[in-house]
Amino acid sequence: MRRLIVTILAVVLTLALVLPGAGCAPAENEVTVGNKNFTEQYIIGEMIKQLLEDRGFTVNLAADLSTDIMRGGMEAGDIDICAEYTGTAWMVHLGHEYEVGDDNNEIYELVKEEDEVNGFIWLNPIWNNNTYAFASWPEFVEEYNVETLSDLAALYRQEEGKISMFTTIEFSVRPDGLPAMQEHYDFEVDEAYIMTGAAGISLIGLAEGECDVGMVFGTDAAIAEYGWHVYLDDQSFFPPYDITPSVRAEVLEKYPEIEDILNELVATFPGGGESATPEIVGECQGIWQGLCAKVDIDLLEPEEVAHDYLVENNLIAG
Amino acid sequence: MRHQVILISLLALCIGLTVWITNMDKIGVMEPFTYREILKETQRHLLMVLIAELIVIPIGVPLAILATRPGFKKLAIPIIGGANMGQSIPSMAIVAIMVPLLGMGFWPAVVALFIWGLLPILRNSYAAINNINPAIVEAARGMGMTRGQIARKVELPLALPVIMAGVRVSTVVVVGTATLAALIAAGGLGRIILAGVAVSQPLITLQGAAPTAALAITLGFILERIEKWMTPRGLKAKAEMS
Repeated sequence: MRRLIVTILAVVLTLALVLPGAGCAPAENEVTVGNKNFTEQYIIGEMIKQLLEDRGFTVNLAADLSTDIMRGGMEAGDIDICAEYTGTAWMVHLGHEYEVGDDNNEIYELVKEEDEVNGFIWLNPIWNNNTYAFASWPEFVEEYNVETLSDLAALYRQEEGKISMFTTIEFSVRPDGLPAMQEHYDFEVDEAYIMTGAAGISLIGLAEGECDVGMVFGTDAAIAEYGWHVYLDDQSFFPPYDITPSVRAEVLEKYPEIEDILNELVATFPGGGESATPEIVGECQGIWQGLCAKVDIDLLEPEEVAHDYLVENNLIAG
Repeated sequence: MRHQVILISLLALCIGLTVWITNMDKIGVMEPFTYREILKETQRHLLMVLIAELIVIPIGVPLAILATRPGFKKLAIPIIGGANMGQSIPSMAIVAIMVPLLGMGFWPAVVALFIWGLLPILRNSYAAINNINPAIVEAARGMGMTRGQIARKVELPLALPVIMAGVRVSTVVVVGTATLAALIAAGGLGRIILAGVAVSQPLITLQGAAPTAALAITLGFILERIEKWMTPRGLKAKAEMS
């Protein structure tokens, strides 16, 4: 009997640890911020959390979520604020197809307008465009004189596809990934020259010289660290992914000051929430590569990086 | 017999599923992988597993046998314990750890599979020799056999079926683990499975998983036949009687 009780207690305790504090009623001035499961999201989540805490809110952080779960949390009202990407919202949450050529401003406006109907208010965007990109070492770029994806495509045609390329497995098979990119830029990578692996592996592959061209994301820390050349997407093939705070309309009605507080944060980045140009996007990507590098390379905690950024930009007191 | 019927129906199911999915026009927004791609990845997968096993067997079996010899008993704890520890590391971690150590691609994946496949072989071979009835060895000694003769003519034949069972378990486990090799650019059927996960299309995942299962079943079946064939007649008779 005693063993039975101990066992049951152990199970209950374990469950209590595993199921995170369900069913607490929100107190006054209490909001929940969600973030996704990669570096840039950890940082932006912490920035929003610390800034709101400084302005008198009690903030819960629902960290490390997948895209679907974060959106689900927003829809269910469990999450009040998140920083989603314009491209993700347009194609995944709102179910549209990206039309090649639509720029950062257009996608932001479209998303802002349509998601308001769903009860989500998009605040000003940060133009860091964390989209798919391709990078090479500067030596390769100089040798073959390739600046843009069009140049790279021309090189592939000339070399009959025999230039090694590293992408994630996902990108290599997604219909809007490599297959569409090859069609759009009119080139083909020889099958034997494509390497695929997990997300971080393509960065290691490029860093170790296993490939000439590697897939990266716009704000990857490794770009800044190694000084890679990122090919300009000169035909706007890749959809823009600008990280943008969005708030549930109900919450914003209750606490309208949140809009100004978060727009203040956005205003510290290039473009300041006004419309984007390629230069602004490039600058903003650079800043985010640097922020991500502090976490991924200098191994600082995202809390610390976010805190330092807020202090440096006079948003909170040190 | 019944056992074989089950195996063959499972195999048929796996192959049937693969054919069914591969013949589909579209899965969601994606086209399924082609037969050529599946064949290519299966080939690569099989090659990875076979090379890993061909390294594991000649290292693992003698090492385990050595640990049972009177002079080397002290080796048993580090060898078996080490292999146990190796197995307790998540397979995904072993594959991931290869990247900083050996880089990416085919050969680092083979090394990871080698580490993962070692334990079943070591443990089974060790247990096989150790569990031989001491009375049999005693009788052999009484007949005037030398230690070498006992090992070759008595212990090894008696232990062989259990050792082979270890090889079978190791191979089947490694076929599954090899799906992770795709993460470090080694290709194999894992690429198709992970592609399905990445685009949230379970049917694509199944298109990689079904041939993997078929491969495991086939290899398991072949090794089981070899196991039976290697079992000494005396042991077989005993098994049939009981």
